This record gives sequence, structure tokens and C-alpha cells, in this order.
Amino acid sequence: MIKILLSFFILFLFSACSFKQAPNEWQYKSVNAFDSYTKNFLSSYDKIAKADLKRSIAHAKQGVDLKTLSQIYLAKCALNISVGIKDECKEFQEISSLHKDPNLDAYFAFLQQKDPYDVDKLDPLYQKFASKLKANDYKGANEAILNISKPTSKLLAAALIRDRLTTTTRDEMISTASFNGYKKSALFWLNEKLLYIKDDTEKERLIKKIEVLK
Amino acid sequence: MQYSKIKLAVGLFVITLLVTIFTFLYLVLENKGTFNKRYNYHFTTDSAAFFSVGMPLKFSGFSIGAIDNISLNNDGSVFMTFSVDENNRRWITEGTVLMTVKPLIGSTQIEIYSAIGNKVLEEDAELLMIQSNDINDMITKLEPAVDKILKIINNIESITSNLAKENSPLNETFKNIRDFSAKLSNSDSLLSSLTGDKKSTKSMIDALNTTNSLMDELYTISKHISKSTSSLDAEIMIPASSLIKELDAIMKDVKQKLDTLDSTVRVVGSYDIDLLEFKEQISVSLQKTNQIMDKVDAFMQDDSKPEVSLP
Repeated sequence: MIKILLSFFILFLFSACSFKQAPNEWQYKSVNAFDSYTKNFLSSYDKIAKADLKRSIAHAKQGVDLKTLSQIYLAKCALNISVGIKDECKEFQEISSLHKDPNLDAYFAFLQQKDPYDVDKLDPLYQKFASKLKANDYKGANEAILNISKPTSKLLAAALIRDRLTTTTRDEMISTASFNGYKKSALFWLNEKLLYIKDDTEKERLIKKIEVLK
Repeated sequence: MQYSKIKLAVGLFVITLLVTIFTFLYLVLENKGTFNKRYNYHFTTDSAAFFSVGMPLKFSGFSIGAIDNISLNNDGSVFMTFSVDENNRRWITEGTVLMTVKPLIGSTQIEIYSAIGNKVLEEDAELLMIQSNDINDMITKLEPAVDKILKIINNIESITSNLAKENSPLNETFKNIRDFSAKLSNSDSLLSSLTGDKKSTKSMIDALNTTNSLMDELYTISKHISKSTSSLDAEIMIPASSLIKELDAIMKDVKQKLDTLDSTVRVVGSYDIDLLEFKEQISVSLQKTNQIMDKVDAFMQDDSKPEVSLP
């Protein structure tokens, strides 16, 4: 028994020693840091989020890769928009001329709602929503939002047409944000809901709720 | 039946424990040399002061024996007995002497000076004791010097008292000189007999008189000068001096403050360097922290992907 355990331990040690880091480790690190940024930003851990974003950008720059950097800038812009912060994606625009990527350009146009953009170049998650939007079919767009599976994408799409949302979609956004622990997003949608409530009692209740949650 | 078994077990345990304790004690005492045979030796001293029963005897700084008994002889001397064990008996040889050392600082010690290589002394032999007293030696050496100093002081005192006496030779000499000079100035005949010419004597007397008047005038002038200098002192010199003193004090104060300022500036300069270093250290620490964070991120992510997933 001891011999088996010892052999296993030595094997484990050798395998650990022989573990080789990927040459593009910077890329993984950058992506991981950005994922962490996404979570922390939406959860209102702003200071940690800021540090994560810095790390993510630093790793992307380490690899001298403008594609990753463009993605980071664009994703940051998208997250801002998803929580109601006005963002023109200036950082992305500054480097977009240095790195041409039709998919990213389409996504940028989609974020800024600048026609024309190729819907097919967008992530399949958004394609139906974008088509409805282009056709000015807001009812269809609301339905498309509810069918988006990825929470961050759902929140972003809803934020793009926040003036045209139905109460159901708005409530769904609050639920999604709340379920995922996205405090910043949840507060944004609660404030959005506040604009459309007519009943004073309910309005006061909601204000109090927002104050408590802040 | 059960109870008797317990009693037996307890009894056995107690016996075993006692045997163990006594064996242990015996071994410890044996190791300490308690059961070893001891050899007695004696020495005689004038006084038992500074000695006591149990006082160690040292050889080359090691304690090899101890005083066992102190008794008073009929002639007033003190008879002491000390013992050494088998191992240390070899140091007590023919020609071995004992010496009491009374250092200036610390307690009295008995040193053994052994003649190594000589035959080992038989038991109950008497050894020679020599006393070395550092304090007494020092006092004995200092005594003649102190005597000489006292003699010198006495001589100086007698000289000064002699000089102070009215009829001392020195005072007599002074008186004679004074009388002689007075007679010299008053008596023409003495001068005449010295010079051999009355005219010369007169001119000498005149000269002396002129000198006297000159001296008087000089005295008056010096008094005036003294007065004017004293007024100068009061009006200019003293205030100027006090002003200079104050100025000096101020300058000293300024210098001291400048020195302090200089050291402060230097300290601040060093702080600046320290801060830069500190900043660098913090930067390095942050980078290290970031590396750890990267690793933590890598662990926490469910899957590793090389591309940023857009929201």
C-alpha cells in the first residue's frame, strides 16, 4: 500500500515538474483578468474591477496583440453601456484603424447603433435582436432579448433599447441581474423601472429599496 | 478476589516506583562522586577570617576540593582540613603550596599551585599556605610615597611660617635694604664719601629730587589716564563689549539653528531617497500581487479560453 502511495506521489511530482506553461500565457491571463473585471464591475466592486482591467490591458499589451486589446476596449465599452453609462468607445476607436476586424467593427456599430452594420457579422446571440431592431420591430426585439441565454448579452441588448422595453422585459432584466449578483446592473434597472412607475406608493417603495441596496 | 488483585497491582506499582526512584537517586549521586573515597589534607593559617567550611579550593580555575573543617590551635593559629576525591588527588603532590588570593573585587579564593610530576602526597599531610592580599600589597606599596608627600607638605609649611615671622632672615634683609636706601637719599656725607666730590653729590641730589618731582608728575598723569580710560570703559567699551557679547550669542544661536536646519535638510533629502525606494518596492509588490492574482484567476475560471468574450 505504501509502495503504491509513494509511486503515485512520485508520479504526481514528476508530472508537476514537467508541466510546461503555454507560450501564449499572456493571452490566457489577459482573458482571465477581463472575465474577473466583468464580474467585479457588474457586482460593483469597482476598485478590484479597475485593477483587473489594468492587468488585462497590461497582458494584452505584453503580447503586442491589438486584436485582444480591441476586444478588451470594446467589451469594456459594452459593459458600460449595459449599466446605463454613456460610452462612445473612444479607446477602441483610437486603435480600430490599426487593426481591422469586420466582426469587431460590426459589434462597435451595433453598440453605438450606427447604421449600416452587417448583422451576420455579429455574434449569433444578437443576430435576431439586431434584425428586429433594424426593422424597427420593438415588440420582436423585446421577445428576442428574453430569448438571449447569456446574461451579460441580455442586459446589453436591453440597455440598447431601454426606452422601448416592455415592463416584462424590464422586470426580467432586474431578475437576471439580481440572480447573477450584478448589483450595478440591478440598481440600474431598478432606477429604469422607477421612471415608468406611476403609482406613488409603489414609487416610494422602490426608491426606499434602491436606497437600501446602494 | 477482584479487590485483592487491585491491591496486588498497586503494591507492585508502588514497589517498582520506589525501586526506580532509589536507583535513579543512587545513579545521580554516584555520578556526582558522593560515594567516592575522599582524601584529607591540612594547612595552618593565622586567622580564619575569609575562610568557611565548604569553601572550594581551585586548581587552574577548577574546583577540585573543599574545606571540611576549621579548628583553633592552642597557639592561636587556625588548623584547617580540606579533602579531594580520588580523581583530583594527583594534583596534591610534594611541593604543592596553597595560596589565598584576596582580589580587590570579589571574594577570597584558595588556589592550589601544584608541582606536577612530583610524588603524590600521602593522606593527612600538611601543606604550606601563603597569603596574597592585593589590597594590603597595594597599601604597602603606596605607604612610602604617602610618607614622602607628607614630609614635603610639612617642609613647605615650615618654610612659609618662617618667612611670615617678623624677625625672619628674609624680612630682616628687606628692612636693611629699606634703611640703606633711606640713608642714601638723606645723607650728603655718605654720598660725598661715595662720589668723593661735594658738587657731584649736590647735582646727584638735585637729580634725585628732579626725578622725584618727575615721578610725582608721572603719577598724576597716570591717574588722569586711568580716569579717562575708566570713563572710556563706562561710556564706550562696556556697552560695546556687551553688544559684542550679545552679537556673539546671537551668531552662535544662528549657527546652531543653521546646523539644525542643515541636518534637517539632509534628513529630508534622505527621506526623499527612501520614499523613492519605498515607491519602487510598492510597485514591485503590486506586480507580484498581480502575478498571484493572475494565478488565482486562472484557478477560478471554469475554462481557459484565449479570446475575450464580448458581452
